[in-house]
Amino acid sequence: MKKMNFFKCPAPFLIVGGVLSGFVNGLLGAGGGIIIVFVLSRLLKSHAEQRDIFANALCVMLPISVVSCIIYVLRGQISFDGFPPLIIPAIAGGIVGGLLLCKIRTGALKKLFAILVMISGVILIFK
Amino acid sequence: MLIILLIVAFIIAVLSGMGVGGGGLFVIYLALFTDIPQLQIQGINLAFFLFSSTASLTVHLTGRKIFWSAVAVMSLSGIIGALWGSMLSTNIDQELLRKIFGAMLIISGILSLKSSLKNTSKQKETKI
Repeated sequence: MKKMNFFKCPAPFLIVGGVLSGFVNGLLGAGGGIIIVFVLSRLLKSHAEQRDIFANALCVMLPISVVSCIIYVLRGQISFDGFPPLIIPAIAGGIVGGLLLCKIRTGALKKLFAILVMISGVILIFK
Repeated sequence: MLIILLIVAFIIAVLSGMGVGGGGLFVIYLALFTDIPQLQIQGINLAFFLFSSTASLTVHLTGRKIFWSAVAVMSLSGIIGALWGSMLSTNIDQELLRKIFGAMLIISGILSLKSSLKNTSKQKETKI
């Protein structure tokens, strides 16, 4: 069977990656971003730096998250009663984080949090 | 208590704006330290992410190259996946959902670590 060349024909990879990522995001309200970053890094390897890929991934995640959120609301199972106070820290933090991304080397932080996330995963499974 | 929550929310938004820790940090925090049900936490996290990543993008976008056709294909496919996933999540037992979330975190952490290590070794190579 002929091996599909990703660069000549990226569409299937983009579509499958997109659907998978959206599925995870819809099911779990988070995640999926790493799949998008993975696919985009392969596709854009020589044309873009890490920060570009991250920006592109955010652009993909936004509509996906909007849809997931809408469905959650339409299914009537969540309420946003306590939510408004969180808006300001969200926006402020997002801005600060975006600015820091250009100024700080995130390598060590990423590794640290990857480990913390794995440990949390184990805890959540057994909680 | 509210103050702590706001500070934690701020820190998580900063981290996620830097691409650290994935989008699940807030879910982790709420799941470990509150009694809020899993689906509700996920809903809050989605809404939180919308605000924080829109804010990040506005700061980020200047000077970045966006590949709109790739973004469009992935978003549209993603929306289909999201419809599927979110319909499923509202039908599943919440305990099971939390465990699946935990499994996703483990996988995501491993992939993240792998790619981080690969980047570090690439940087070391170019230095030599």
